[in-house]
Amino acid sequence: MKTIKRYISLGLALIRMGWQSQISYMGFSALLSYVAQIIQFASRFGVIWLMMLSFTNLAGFGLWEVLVIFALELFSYALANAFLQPFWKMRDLVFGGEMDFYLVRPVNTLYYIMTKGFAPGYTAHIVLSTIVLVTASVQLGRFTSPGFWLLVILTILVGAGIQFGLRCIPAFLTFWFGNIDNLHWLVGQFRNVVRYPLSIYPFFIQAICTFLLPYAFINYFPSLLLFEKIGLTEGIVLFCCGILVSALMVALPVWMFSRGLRRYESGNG
Amino acid sequence: MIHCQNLTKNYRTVAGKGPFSFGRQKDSESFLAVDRISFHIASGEMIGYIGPNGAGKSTTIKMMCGILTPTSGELTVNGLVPYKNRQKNARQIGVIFGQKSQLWWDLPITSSLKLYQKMYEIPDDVYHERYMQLCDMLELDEFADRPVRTLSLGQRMRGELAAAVLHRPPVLILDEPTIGMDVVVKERIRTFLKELNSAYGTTILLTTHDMTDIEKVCARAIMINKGKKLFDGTLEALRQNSQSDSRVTVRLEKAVPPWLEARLRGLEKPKAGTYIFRLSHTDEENRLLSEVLQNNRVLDMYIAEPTLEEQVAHYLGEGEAR
Amino acid sequence: MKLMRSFFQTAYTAFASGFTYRANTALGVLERLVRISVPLFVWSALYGASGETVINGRTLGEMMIYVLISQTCTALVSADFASTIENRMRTGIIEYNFIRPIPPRMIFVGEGFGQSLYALLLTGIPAAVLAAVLIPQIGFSLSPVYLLLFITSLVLGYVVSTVFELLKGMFAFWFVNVYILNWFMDLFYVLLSGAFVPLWFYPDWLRAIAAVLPFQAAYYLPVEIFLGIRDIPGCFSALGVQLFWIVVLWILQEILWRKSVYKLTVLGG
Repeated sequence: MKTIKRYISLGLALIRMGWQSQISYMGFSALLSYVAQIIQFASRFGVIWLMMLSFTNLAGFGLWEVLVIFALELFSYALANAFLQPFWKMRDLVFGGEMDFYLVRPVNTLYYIMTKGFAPGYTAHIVLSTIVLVTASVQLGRFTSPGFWLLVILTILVGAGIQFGLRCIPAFLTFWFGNIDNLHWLVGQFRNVVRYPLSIYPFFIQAICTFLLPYAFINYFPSLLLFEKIGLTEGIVLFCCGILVSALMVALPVWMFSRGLRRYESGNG
Repeated sequence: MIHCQNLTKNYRTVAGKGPFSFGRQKDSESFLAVDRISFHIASGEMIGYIGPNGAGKSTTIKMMCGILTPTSGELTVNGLVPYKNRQKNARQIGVIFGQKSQLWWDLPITSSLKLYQKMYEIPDDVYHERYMQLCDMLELDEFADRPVRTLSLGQRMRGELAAAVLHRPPVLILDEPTIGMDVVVKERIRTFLKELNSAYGTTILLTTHDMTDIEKVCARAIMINKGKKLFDGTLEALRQNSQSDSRVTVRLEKAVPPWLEARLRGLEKPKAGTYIFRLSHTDEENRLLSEVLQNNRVLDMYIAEPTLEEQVAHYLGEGEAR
Repeated sequence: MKLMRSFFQTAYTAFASGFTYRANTALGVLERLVRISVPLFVWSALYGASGETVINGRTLGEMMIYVLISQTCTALVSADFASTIENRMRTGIIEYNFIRPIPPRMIFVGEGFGQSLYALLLTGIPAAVLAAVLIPQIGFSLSPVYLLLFITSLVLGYVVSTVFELLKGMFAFWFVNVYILNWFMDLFYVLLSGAFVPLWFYPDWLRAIAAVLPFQAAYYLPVEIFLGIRDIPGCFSALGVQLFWIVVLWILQEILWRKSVYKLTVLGG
């Protein structure tokens, strides 16, 4: 219990220091950059709006439903990746000895790296996704439905777990395979794919996004339930599968990291 | 306090040949970085750990920090095996890596220190007391509230020292702490280390290329080269064992007679009429010195004992020959 | 002349540096393949759901060609040397660009050219593959006249974007945060260039705005020519618009350049 308190207190302190560091580094520009990022993402949403102007629906999903699908992916991505910035420099960590900074302190290494590496920049993503979700819920008449919001929040949490795994599993392969940084770029490219309802793609792409890179559980399957495209039982079953997948996508990289750390400590880093 | 017995570290680089082996080392080699080292450091000692680059100093230190697992042999720090108890060990050591910072770059050192307070669960009153003491010893007040990125190298190192000892670890390990610093700053750091040791009995292990650091701070030196321990003892013993030469510099009034000049050809001649004699085991230059002194009027003469630098170099030279 | 040779040398170095990691290039091609396939599926589904074969005067086949050409054009004009300039300003190594016997702007443009070619290759390969698969099915034909006009327009479009990029780069000399500027520009690029959604789908008011901005000159006009939407006089007027922007942007850029050089060399930056 005392350890949990200590870890929470440390985590919060580190997140706060992350904010302070950014403000200290960029000053007023930090705020400007958030605005700029929000605008940047708003433009992506704008494109979808433009696209669907001349059309009735996309695979049975209306404009706002498509925007919700987009927003769910964006939100869960931001939530997870806000703590995963350090893993962009996996090479420096593993081969440049930067891991030592974390190892000489009495804290769990992975936790320390993630909380110290908190990147406030992702706030923009979260703010914008929230705006879109709220607007969409109003447009779809679901704003006052607690069931809708509960499902949305759970989806985002489950999605964050999966995004965590999708980002970390390729990154942690660096412990064993050296400079494999760019694999995660390819994985990330699939985010563009799942921004739209998966049903528009041929089966093999849907299969990849379900069984290999489980993006489907982040937004598409939940959207089927949210917008009543499938029955309640099927929807709940799918959602539970999503929870399991998410748990796996968190457990696997955590395990990989501890094994990778062991390898690092034996001097192969 | 720090005890190792036949400590060995053999780096084995694994060959990489898979489809994803970009950037990975292609050879399969082993590199014996530390070769059966044994020593014992008692609590409160101040030790200089010296050797050329690649000798195995950093490797030993990393093993003490629990960052690196030994291949074989024993190593305990205050009774704990570091690599088996990384976090527990981390509470009882403080580390300074010369080039790597333990401070937050964009924030003042007080922010970093407050974080470490939380990390080591130091109560507020104890923290304030220690902070005051550190301010005193390191003169942190001058710059404690400015972001670390605005500080000079010396100021930064003072901050690092504070961050390393805030939790009062019984052992402080420093890996090249004075690199790139001017003499004034180095002196401050040496003073701090001595104060730390006398006030709190902190055991200090210092690796450095600057022998003055060792001379001024450490009572004992452990020398390592190519993974093997070459010397372990007081600086006094090192001087006696290193058998490097004292030098006598002589300035003569007149030129030496020609018959003597030929025999002086091998000597260092920094200026016209000035010769440097090396007093060593071989009598040659000793005898030459006597002859010169007998035959000439001496204007100036002084004797220089070998510097620690030379002693070590000499020792290393001997060590390689073994 | 020697200057030309230095230009191509700079370009070649920038081009070749993309290939330092072979696997990165392979992954890059895969990434681009995924990226350009997504709109193909999206437009297919949109057309499918609407039940019509011709929307706003364009068939699905033409949409697909639009996607392939547009994505390839975008890759060609994607070099972002404004950010490179800003980076070099910040780290101080910009001076090296000034002490070489080649004019600094030529260095930037040369590097950009190399980067563009690299991006073009990476996107062009999957685009060509997809085109080879799709075009026989669509049955599209291109007359030699239009092809010539298209290539001319493509080159002009490239020049427009290069001059625009130089103009942005000028701001770096005045310590304006180019990243933030880029984000705002990104908004216009995404929404008003016609690179993601063809301008013929835009509501009139938005189309009018897009028409007075340079973005469509770089990204969209060549595509219109390729698709044969314009008649021959129309094509020439499109080329005229591109030339207009080249001149205007060049003048603006030249003014700022003179001031920047003065600032750097006389006032010491």
